Amino acid sequence: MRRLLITAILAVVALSIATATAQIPQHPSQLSFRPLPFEPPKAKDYRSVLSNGMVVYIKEDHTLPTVDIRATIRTGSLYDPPDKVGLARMAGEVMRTGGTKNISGDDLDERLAFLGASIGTMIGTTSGSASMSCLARDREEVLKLFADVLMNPLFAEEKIKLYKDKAIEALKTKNDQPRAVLETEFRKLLYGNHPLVWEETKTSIEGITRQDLMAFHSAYFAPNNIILAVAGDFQRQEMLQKLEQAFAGWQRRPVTIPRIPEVAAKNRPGVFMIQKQINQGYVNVGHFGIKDTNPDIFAINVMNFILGAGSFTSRITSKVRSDEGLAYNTGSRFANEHLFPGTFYGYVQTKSQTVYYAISLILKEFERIRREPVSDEEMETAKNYFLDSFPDRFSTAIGTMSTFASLEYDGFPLDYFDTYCAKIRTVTKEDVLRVAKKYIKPDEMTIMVVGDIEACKKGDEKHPGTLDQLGRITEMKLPDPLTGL
Amino acid sequence: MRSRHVTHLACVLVLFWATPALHAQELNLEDQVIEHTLDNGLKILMVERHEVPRVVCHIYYRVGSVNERPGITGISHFHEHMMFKGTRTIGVTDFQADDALNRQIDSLYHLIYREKYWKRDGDQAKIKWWEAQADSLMKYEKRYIIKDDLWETYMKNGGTGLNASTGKEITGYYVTLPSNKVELQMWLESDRMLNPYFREFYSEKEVVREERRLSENSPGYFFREQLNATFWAASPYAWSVVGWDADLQKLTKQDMIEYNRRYYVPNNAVAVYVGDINPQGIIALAEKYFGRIPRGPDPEPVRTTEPKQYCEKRLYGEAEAPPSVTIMYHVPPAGHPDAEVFRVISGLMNGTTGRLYKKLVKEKGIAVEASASGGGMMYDGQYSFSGRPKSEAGHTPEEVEQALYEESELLKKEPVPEYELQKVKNQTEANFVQSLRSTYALAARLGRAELGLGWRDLQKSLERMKAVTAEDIMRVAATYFVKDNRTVGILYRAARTPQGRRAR
Repeated sequence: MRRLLITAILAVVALSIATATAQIPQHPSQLSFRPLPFEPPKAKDYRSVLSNGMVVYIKEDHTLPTVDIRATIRTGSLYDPPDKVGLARMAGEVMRTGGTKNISGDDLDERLAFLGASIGTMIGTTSGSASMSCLARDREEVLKLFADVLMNPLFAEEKIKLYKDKAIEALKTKNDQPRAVLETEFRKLLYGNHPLVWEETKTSIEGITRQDLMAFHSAYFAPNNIILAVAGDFQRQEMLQKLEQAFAGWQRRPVTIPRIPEVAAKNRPGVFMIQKQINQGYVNVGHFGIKDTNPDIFAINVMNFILGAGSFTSRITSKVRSDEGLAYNTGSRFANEHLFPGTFYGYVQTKSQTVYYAISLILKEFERIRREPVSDEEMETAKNYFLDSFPDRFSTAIGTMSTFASLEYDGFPLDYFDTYCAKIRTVTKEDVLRVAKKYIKPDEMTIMVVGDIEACKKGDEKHPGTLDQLGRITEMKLPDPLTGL
Repeated sequence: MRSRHVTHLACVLVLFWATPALHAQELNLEDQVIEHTLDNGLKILMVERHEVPRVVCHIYYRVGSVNERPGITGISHFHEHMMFKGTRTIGVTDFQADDALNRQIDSLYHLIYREKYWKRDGDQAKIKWWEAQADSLMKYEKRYIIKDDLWETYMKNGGTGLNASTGKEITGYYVTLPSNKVELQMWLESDRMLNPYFREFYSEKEVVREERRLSENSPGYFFREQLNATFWAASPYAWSVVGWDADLQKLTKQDMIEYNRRYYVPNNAVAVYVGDINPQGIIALAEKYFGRIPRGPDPEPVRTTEPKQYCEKRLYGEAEAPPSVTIMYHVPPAGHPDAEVFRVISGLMNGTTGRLYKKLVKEKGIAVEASASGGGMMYDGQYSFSGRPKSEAGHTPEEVEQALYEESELLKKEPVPEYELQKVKNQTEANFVQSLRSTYALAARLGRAELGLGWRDLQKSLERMKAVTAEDIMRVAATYFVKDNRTVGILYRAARTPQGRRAR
């Protein structure tokens, strides 16, 4: 009897397991998903202009009791005078640390720290930014401080000195990281003597004065030269009014953005090596790429996803990392610039003995994608990825507002994202082949290796071949970062 | 939380801008997190966020380098890599055929490893011969392998944030998917838990070794690794997550299988879903997919406890890196009543208004950077002060070391003023709220906390932190910041020859 019962229980258990597992498809390809329509938010719905000309993208978001504001300012280190390299970057930091006409830098630090809020400013190569973040209850006070920093920076001498000390100390560490050395020197090789790649030195940093910083601020910081992204726990109309008040008294005025010399986009084929006593070669293989306004950009993105940007689904990663176990990091990149042609390159970091072999595999993939059409599956994967992950761009309110601010900053149409998916959908295999042929030039590759030169030059037993088979080798000297010489 | 707040604001804010909005302490995670536990012990945590039709899906296991032992260091991280190489169902066209090949390859490597690592003078010719055989079998195996199937499946379904990471105590697997495709994650992740298979073990081992080399080439890495190994006498926190290279070389397939069986069980894991979800739907899917996985024996927590240190340890090194000093102290594990005090001490020390920057960088001008960090981990704790001297002006790590001691001595002698204490508490609380904004970060915090002291402790620890007094700080500093309890690491910049080769 007891035995029978156990058998019966077992039978029921077995049956329920059977039905449970029966519901589970054998393979994920058998899963079906309900459709998921997604309409991206429209930039124009969030756009306002303050009376002084400041553009504002603003969205209420009541998820958490916080407020975020990010400002984009049309400026950049690109406009540094040749004898004042580092000016924009210094201005970007000291305008915040140096305090304002109304509050010292130290008091500003203290007050923000007490509120658990933050205000930051920085200037990059082609744009400047300022941001604030606070709990919603403190938004009025922090906004006033934020506006004060943008309008009235003092550039206090003591904070200039602190900045200079730190910047000069940082110069000394500049050649420590092999990856940083590779990226900097690769760009310098391509762009030549152009403001894009000018570097600070001890002399240039020391030569920058408070007057330079003040003049820099007057030249670029005007309300009509700034775009705000605002999101958080507030009422939209109320916040717009507070923004008007915070920046009241800041008048619009003409801002002149200097003309920048054209980049002479001439590729420099060859093998360039920089000595570092490390156990891997850090490699970039590439040449000039495109501007982000290039109409082929959608086809290029699909092509590059298949080639080397789609992580493990891409050919380079699959071959060099997954198949051969040669590297942890490998792939290809179009580092698009807005005002200039960017760069295109394959990259890998691999032990010295396999440097030649890994590069040769990457070059083979460059050749292959130019020679034969990609497969239907590769096209499907790439396009699905772009389409299905598209909503990610709008996952936070402040991120979405910043995205719209960048569209406007770079002069893209405000409905850019309305047509984004359609543009990805229409990319064909022929387009991919065409752009691969047009934008990848195997004969013009600059191959740069940072590593132990002698160890990297020769291959190993298992993968014979030496670097000089890829082009003439030039050994480059790393400049002393303090002097640039 | 949300609705109460919004209706309240709508009528009042028009009149009073300065109305105190929701105070951070009113932010209650308890109202937002939904939890459910399957019969097999797998915990499911969910938070609804409907901004976009996407869901952050994370799975965390309570396993990391702290669970390793000498000889298999690095295996947790290596295991994380192997989990992307497919399963008995994913990544393979004909499992039987593939498995047969793998058995042959494994037997060859068994011979190779014994010859290579068990003997002093192994027979090189034999090793070469076996390696060649294994190579050709692995080439042959490629016909059965669907390359990076798991990754590709995720990506073509719009998976982003796709990755995994291993730490000292926790391993996480991440993907963000369209909200209609959570079932795909359930399928793939429950399959990874149920049907692991360690394909391409030997080539992936080389990838892991390349990853280790990348770390080694980061300036000062070897020194930091040695410093850490010196600080811990008995605890498995002594080795880095990536492991020692010698151990990596010798790890076997069998080690991996045993490790997997012990730790990668549902009762040692938590699955987190944050985003555009319907919690009931998630629970139903989880029951269906993860519910089929049998519970495993509960893994034993780490046995070893770090013994008391009775003498100061010091380490000097050189590297192509900025000169620096690090002072490390042993402190209690997370959950200990003193643990929250260290959080407050970090607040006092760090940032531009923190004591270290004010004193060492601004006032004395001897350092370019100084900070303090650390606290309780799952089994033991570590707290360190560190700084970088302004070397251009001739300042040394030793000078910075003395200045750091002055700051820890001050903590023992003078009660922290009320204002300063309040500032730190405000900051910590605000940072906590800010950190919940990103759905990805929220998932990560919840999952990791759950496997530590439980996700509810995120908020409770905040309350404990707010209760810390000036006296607590004096007592804790006096107890732990003492000479016999510390390890000091001093790193000098290595001299370089004009050719950029390190002088020896």
